[in-house]
Amino acid sequence: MPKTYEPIATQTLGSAAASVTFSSIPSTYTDLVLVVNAKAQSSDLYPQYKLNTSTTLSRTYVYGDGTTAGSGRSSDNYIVGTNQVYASGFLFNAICHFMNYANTTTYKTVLVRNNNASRGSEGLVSMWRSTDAINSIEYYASGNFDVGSTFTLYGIKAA
Amino acid sequence: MSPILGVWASAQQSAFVVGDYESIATITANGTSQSLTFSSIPQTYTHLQIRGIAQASYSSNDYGSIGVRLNGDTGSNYTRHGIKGNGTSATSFGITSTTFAECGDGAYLNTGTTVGTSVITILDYTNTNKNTTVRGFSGTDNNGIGSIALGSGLWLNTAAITSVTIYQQNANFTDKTTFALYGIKGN
Amino acid sequence: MANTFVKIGSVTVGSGGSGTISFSSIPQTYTDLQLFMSLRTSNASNQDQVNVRFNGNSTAGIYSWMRLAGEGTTASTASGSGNNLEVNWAPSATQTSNTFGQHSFYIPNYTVSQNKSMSIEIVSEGNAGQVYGQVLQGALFSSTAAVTSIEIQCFGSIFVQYSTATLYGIKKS
Repeated sequence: MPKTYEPIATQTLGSAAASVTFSSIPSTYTDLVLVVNAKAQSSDLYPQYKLNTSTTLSRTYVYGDGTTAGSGRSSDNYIVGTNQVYASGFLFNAICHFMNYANTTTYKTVLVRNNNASRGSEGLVSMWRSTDAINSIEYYASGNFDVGSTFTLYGIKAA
Repeated sequence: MSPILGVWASAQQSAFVVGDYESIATITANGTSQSLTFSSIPQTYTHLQIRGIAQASYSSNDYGSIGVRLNGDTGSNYTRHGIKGNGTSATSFGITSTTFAECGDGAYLNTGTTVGTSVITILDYTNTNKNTTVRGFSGTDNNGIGSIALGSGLWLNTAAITSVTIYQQNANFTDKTTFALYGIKGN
Repeated sequence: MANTFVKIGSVTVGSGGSGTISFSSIPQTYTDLQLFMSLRTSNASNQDQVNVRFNGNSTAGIYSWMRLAGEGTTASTASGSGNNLEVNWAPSATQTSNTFGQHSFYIPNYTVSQNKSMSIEIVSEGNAGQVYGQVLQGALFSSTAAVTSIEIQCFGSIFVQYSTATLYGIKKS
């Protein structure tokens, strides 16, 4: 029987890589929390994600970048709002809540906080247009995440 | 429309423990109410967190706010504020003498398969020297419309919190709405 | 398996108030830290600035931040750096009585040998439409040292009685 708040898996990059995948995610929790603490290796990144290999996603976001308080939306699978937050050389963190991820009656909604102290802070909501339970999460970008970047997945189980 | 208590789906206290973040109860709506209430909340934790998804039957491709009412108070004894983005602009608002605390636009206002979502946090809920401050991070996206917000609200009462009502001002929650209450130990 | 989400320590400010809330000798056995604070200050204003330091480090520019904020009807953004991490706001003396704000810090990988990035949310409430704040903030502590202590400082006055801070450790395995 799972505990209320439990780690599922963690990945720390021993070498730079463009993607991280959590697969075979158990369906025994209620929510998932993905904590990302990472840095771009050499070029600005604009992370995307796939759920169960699908990219049928959309997002709405609000951000402050030190100059502009703004908002945007798009029909795509980016998991950041603006490409400011993953600028090369700057440490970045993201906390992603995959809510009621295992239910098979609703589309899946993800709440995200993205933070880069030098480039921006955001809130974002994304929707996966599928009623499937989430069993894999791929977090990736066009360039590499640097050595030492960490990705940890937790499960939260409701009564 | 006056609120009617929703369905109490399960109330298995501390079913999953180990560690200081514990599940208290889960509620799923049955389509007949704009409110879902966690009642008889144990006073043995320090903080509360509520996590869930919501849909209300308003027949509009739009999003609506998730509010919180405390100890059954439906009077104008709250304030609410928020910073939000609707896909076009970032805006901020503040309302006083209102009937619920703001947690952001975590309800999708139509039937179907889209839902909004919320993470709501209440600190020091048993402390009788403090008015209760509620914080909500929530949002809804439906591929062309959406809102993401950090909301907050103040209940102008120092009573310990024994019940929390999740409230949607536009329409009844559908049966795709479910919220889970967690207690966080701190003392 | 070890417990995942565990209280490390808590502080409640007593009568007479306190200018500082501190956590020291933070165990290095967790992965992430979660800090919840409920604060009010005695400053003769509606709200007050709160500063945070890690490991007692007050090196100039070692803290940097960027935030999105809402104040009543104004959405704004700001950034800064300094020898403290500024985390506005907390309600203070002329704010609605008995009203305390909420600060939430999440610090991933606080023991690893790299700079420390963190996610912060702040709400400060009051019985008026203007002035009060909701903040989404990202911050960086540019030190590769593990975090062993956290000091929360009241900028212009003291934290009043019943202000609280609770620190949790979250373990990845």
